[in-house]
Amino acid sequence: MPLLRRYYHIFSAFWQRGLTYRSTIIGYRIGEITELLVIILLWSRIFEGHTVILGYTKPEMITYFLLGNLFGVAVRSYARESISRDISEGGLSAIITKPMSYLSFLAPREIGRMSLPTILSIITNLLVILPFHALLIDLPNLGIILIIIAMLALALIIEFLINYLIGFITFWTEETEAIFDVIGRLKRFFSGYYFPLSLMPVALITLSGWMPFSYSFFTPAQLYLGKMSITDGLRGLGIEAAWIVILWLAVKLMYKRGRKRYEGVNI
Amino acid sequence: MEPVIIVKNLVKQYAFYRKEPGIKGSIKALFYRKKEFRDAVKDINFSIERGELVGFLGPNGAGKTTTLKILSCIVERSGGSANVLGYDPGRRQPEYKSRFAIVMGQKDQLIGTLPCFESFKMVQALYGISDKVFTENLEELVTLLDVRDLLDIQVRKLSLGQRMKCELIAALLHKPEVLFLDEPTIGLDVVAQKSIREFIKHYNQKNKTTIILTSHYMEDIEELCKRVIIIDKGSIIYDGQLSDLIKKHAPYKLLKVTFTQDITREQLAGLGEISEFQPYAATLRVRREEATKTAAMLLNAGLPVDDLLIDEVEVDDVIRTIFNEKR
Repeated sequence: MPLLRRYYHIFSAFWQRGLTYRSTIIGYRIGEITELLVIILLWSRIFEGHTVILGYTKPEMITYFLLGNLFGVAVRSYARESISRDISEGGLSAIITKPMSYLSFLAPREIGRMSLPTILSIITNLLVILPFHALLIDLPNLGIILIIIAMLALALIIEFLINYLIGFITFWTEETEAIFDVIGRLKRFFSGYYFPLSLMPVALITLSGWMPFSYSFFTPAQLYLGKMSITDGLRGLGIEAAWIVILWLAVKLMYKRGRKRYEGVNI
Repeated sequence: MEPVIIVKNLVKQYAFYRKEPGIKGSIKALFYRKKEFRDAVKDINFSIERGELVGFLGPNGAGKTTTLKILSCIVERSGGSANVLGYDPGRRQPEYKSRFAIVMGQKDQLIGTLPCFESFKMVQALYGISDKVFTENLEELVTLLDVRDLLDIQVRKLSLGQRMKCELIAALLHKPEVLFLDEPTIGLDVVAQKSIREFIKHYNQKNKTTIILTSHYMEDIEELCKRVIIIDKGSIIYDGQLSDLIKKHAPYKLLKVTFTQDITREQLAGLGEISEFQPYAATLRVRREEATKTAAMLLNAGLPVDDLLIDEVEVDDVIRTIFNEKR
């Protein structure tokens, strides 16, 4: 059986599994809609009587947060949770006794698990954003759009790999929540989730440029707003590619080390 | 015949930490924890030939499951060697994984929220089974285990017995040559246990699959395994025919008698050791070679015998005796 078909079967099984939890899917969407409406209301209120705040016009600021959010939901992963569960509850044993490596199995499984909620999140975001399109900045040129799409695709891979690494910590300790929380906060800060990174000191902006997080929110949003050039975008793609190589090597090393410690408990 | 499983001086150690009791102990453990090692498997040796169905017996924590985990690539051994079908399980080669399967009675391998057919399709993908072989094998297994009506029902809605049948199908779709069954009947009712046992027996005979079975239910072992390996505290304490084990460790038989009228203990004096007594029934333990003679004496002793049965000692009791002797 060709490899792609094998991946497809795994993807398909977990995609279907995602459909089982309909109330969860609806619940998350309600939360997302509320958050987006709060962003619009909050920044509309802050901009009352002002044209420019911290170098951003009202359309720029609202576009920054709404698009940034959209990019954020497109590149998220919760692989850490399922990997952690596999290791701590012994589910890993069922996979590692099969002739496909766990690392090869993870990608189709996690894409299968996440694709439906992600697609629904993107649709929800677009449904909220579209009625307010008059408040937003117009689409940039095709070149910028293509760079943003490539940047988000690489950011998604980075997100997966970081999740793998955190999940693998379970080989040593079952407590991955705290580490995930710390990295989550760092990620939100350095991705520009709380506020545009351009408001930070230059040193921190430079540092964030070398870290992998800003490419899932701040950088693509700045590219969209025309505050960064195509050259900046291409440089960002290069940095992302380098991170993917580093993280992949770290994932392989950590899995190899962790696998030696695995005891297959609960079986 | 060439053995397909060869285990030599196999060792597995697990690391663990001790913590002193109370809050003080917890705080101390934050800074210093003493690492200790426990031998789960100590220097064990055995070999199994193609098509054999061997029972692996022992109390909880004896090392049975750990041995199966080593042979099925789940955990790494700490020492010794293992060879299954010519492969070293420690190398975790995909070619080896395509030729064995493990079923863990206490761990579901199927996706609970989906119908089992979807899990079977995933198993097909994981093993790279062609559509033709998949359809043929599935058809055969579904018929044998009589689960055709269950294929489109969510796994979590199935009973334990039905689920175990589906677990067996998932494990056998790629026709493994070696099968490790870890407590396949645990928690099942007697009807489901019987049905699983019959299937394992049939499958082993038909396909000459080499099977190692661990079970706490002696009926499983008695009905399926001619040979047993008994393991305790990580070491093998018996490896041989089940019938020899009974002869060696239970040199007596049981005479089970029921009476038409109540009798007294004294009336049975001198016939054998009374292991159970009620006024209308009794069980006597007598030496194997004296069983027939004692039965005749009982019938001629003028007692109101209604029925008499010469029975083997329960295997469970034999095993318990062995473990008690070792302690």
